[in-house]
Amino acid sequence: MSMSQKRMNTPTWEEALFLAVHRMIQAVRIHKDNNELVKASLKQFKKVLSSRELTDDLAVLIFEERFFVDGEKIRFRRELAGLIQVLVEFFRRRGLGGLSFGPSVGNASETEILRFMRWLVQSVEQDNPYTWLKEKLETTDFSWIGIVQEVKSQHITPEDDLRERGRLIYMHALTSVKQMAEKISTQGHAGVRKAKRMVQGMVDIVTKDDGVLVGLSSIKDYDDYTYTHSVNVAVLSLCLGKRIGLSRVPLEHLGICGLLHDLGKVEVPLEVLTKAGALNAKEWEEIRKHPIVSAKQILMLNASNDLKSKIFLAPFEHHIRNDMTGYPYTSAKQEVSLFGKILHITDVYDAMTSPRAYRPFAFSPDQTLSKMMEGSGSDYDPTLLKIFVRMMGTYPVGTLLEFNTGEMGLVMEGPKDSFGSHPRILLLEKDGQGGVKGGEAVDLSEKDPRTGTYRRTIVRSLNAASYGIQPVEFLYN
Amino acid sequence: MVSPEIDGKSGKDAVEIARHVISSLLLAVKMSSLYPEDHPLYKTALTSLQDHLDAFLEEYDELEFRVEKSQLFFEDEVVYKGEAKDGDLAFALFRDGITALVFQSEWEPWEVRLFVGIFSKYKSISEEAEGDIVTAMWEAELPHIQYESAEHILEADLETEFSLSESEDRTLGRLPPMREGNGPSLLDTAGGDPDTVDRPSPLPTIDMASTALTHEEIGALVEMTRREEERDAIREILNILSDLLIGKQDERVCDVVFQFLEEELHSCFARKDFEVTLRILKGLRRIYNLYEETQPLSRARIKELFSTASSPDFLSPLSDVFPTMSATDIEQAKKVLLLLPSKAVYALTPMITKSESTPVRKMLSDVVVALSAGNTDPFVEALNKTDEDLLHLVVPILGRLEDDRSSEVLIELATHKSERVRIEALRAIMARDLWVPEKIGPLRDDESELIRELIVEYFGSRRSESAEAVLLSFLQKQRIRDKESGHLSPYIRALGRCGSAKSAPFLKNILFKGGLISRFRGSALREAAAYALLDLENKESESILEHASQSRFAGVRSSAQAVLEGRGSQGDKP
Repeated sequence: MSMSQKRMNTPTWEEALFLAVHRMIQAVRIHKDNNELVKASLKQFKKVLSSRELTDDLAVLIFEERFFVDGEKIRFRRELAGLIQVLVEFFRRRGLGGLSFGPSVGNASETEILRFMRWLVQSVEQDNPYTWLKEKLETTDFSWIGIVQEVKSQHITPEDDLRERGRLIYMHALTSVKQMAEKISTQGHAGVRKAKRMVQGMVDIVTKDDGVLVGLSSIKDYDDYTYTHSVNVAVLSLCLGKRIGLSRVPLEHLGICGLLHDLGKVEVPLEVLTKAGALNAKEWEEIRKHPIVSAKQILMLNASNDLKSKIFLAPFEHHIRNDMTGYPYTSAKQEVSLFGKILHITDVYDAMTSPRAYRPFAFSPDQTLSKMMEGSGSDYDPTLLKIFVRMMGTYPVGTLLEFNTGEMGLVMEGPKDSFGSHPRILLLEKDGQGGVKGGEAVDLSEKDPRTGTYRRTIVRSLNAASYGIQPVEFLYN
Repeated sequence: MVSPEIDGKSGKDAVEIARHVISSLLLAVKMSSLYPEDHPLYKTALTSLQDHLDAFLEEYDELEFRVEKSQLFFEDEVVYKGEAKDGDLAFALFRDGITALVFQSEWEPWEVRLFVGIFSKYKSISEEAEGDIVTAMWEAELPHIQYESAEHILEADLETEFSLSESEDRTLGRLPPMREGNGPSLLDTAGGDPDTVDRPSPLPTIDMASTALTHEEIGALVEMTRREEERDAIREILNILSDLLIGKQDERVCDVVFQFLEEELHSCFARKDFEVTLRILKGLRRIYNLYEETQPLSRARIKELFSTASSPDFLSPLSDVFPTMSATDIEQAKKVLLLLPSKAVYALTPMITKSESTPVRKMLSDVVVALSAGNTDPFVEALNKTDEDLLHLVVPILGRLEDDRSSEVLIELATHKSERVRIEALRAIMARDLWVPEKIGPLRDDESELIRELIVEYFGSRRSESAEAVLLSFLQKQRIRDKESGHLSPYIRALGRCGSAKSAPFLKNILFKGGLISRFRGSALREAAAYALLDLENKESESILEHASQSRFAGVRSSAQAVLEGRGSQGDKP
């Protein structure tokens, strides 16, 4: 295990405190004081706070929709993103900009902490939650806690706002599809309301700027592959759908198809899905069933037949090639539907660029596109593939590049007129702790004025995920 | 406090109108859930809402309500206070994450109607609903009714998120290099050993110029998009089913497809979508025929679905849509119903009696007749269950069937205690040309004049020894007196039409009977006998008539002469 990976597995103290606050609030919202979960949360909260000696007030603040603990921004990570959004909303609805813990917090009694947390939760029911809370605190001698009034940020640009929204929707989509799969596994059926909400949100973003979501699709998760893959396929399919001129509601259906296309994998044994070596015939047979099972699961959703009839086909077809080979075998069909063709392209692209247990490598995005072009016509609809390739550009966002200067960087921006052959790059630097951090943003079209040659040329492209890098963590922070 | 634009007296008025908008919205939503769109009460409520919106928006550009958990605010004034429970106006909006609702001045009636419908449909939703107010408004894309929504709807995810964060080792994103211990530390590889990670050889970069679309490709894309819009989902699902059955796939998968088709059929009936129903049923038939021998189980499953689709429960939604069916709907429905097995007759027959639409009754009768060919059991069973007061409405169908069982039922019904049933049964017997004079002979004494007339018509419809025997036996038992026996004349006439030389002596007797009685104008019975003799069309009867025409009794003579003269000149006998 590399150092960079180890660092990612252990939360920082700031993140631990953020999690402890979140956990405390949620436990108090749901349970009474004597509940075991509340007690555990309280214990954890005190443990985190006591692990660092405070000499001054410690602020947990919200600024531009992000949490800062003691001035340190809580970084975007998949597991945290949803929680950040939830707590931001929690504070926003109470007119609060944050909390301030005094040095005496370590001496605060459990009763005091619980009482404050309950006030915090209840304040939303007041006409002016901030004032109400302030008055409540004035009636006590809780010197260990203070509240900060919300300050409306003036600095968020529409572009930032869109990126932030895109990122949160992506994360919530991930949760939605995961919940659906879990519900299907345990209860045999699920609803689609949240998935629909997420896809509608994605459609809104795609119609404004599809680059935001294309960038997000560089998220790869080795452990939760099926879920991130499902969201990525939805995202990429929406972007491609928008490029070919689909209107809102068909885009919505296409997005749902993407989210649900691998729902059938809930019936494939985990050991088969995660098997490192080659699959035997029986295991392969299990895998080959999943498009059919996806269609079945969709037909079993708690949704109208009207919706189901629009979203079951593409998941059924997503492994059928353009020449009608592939699986499942079909004799009754003459051609794959448009949505099925789109899903096939985006599914293969995301799968090839994702680390998988059964192969020792992952293609870089540009290599994947080249490889896919070899199958134009036979494997993929040639027109759609062309559009997809142009959409992604020569070097898709999130591609890890190595330059002749010895530097490495991530592609930041999607293709413009040049189709991204000279994209903007975020250079990566060592962070001194065995990992990397984002450095300077440079433009590959930049030339040395003395020689007239490009300052940096690409030596090769790499698969960021293979190096344990989530491009989104660098590009969206 | 109200904004500067809405201040002072006019501000108070604005708040008041905003309250009216909300109260009329509530009423419209209520009416919408109770009545169909064309109902006067719903229309009135909608008009009231539109009037209040007009009253506000004539003065101001837009009307914005801020949403809180159980309250709606206009400016800073509470204009609606409800309860934080399912179905409440504010709470439903809040539940779905709507923070503001805005009506703009150029609103159009269809938008308001749609909004009311959306709210009515989604004010209460289940945990696993397909959508909510936001998803519906997003799809409706109302140009002048806008909303702002936050995603705090996703607070419901908290528990899941929370449980995820409980696990220490899953707290943060984990993305290991490809192989444990095999992953290079980034930047250490840069410029050094580039192949620490196994990976494919670099592929040449794509020449983007080669990805430009040709005119043909653009055309193909347009065509592909068009085809997608026209895609027939039902055909696709039937294709899938067909493939699944060929491939002998997991039976559970087939079951789900069948279940879907079953639900779709059911809802199609409820929404009068007979075109889709027709496609499903035809498609299933095609599959059924395709696997004639090879897939007995699949065929059995399809058969089962048809059987389910023919049950009273399944077909019951039809009763609700009959009153609003157009001629085209009726025609389509007929095509659908004709594809069902005869079992459907049991469900359809009561619908005939309940429908008030003549075209629908006719369609259903046609269907019942067609489906009963070869198996009248369901129809007979349905008849037995039919309310006596309504039985006469379905009896005519028996007249269009041909099997022995229905004949027996018909004959039985001909003696039913209900006059209307007896009439229809008799008509049906005649329509079927069912010749059972002995069986229905007793009806000659029926209290119903119409039935007696029908019996006369029936008996007189052909030469028949059995009919002659029945009539002759009957008439011979009567005390024939001119004044009191006028009602027998039609039977005497009928005897002439069905009888033979055997009846001639009886008829002669009547013609000549009475002697002087014949002075009373033309006796009805005597005339009837004369005509009957004429109708017998045999030598003996003609001889009797000739003889009678020269009788010394004027009554006898005139009756016979009238008949004989009329034979040549009258096309229609009286």
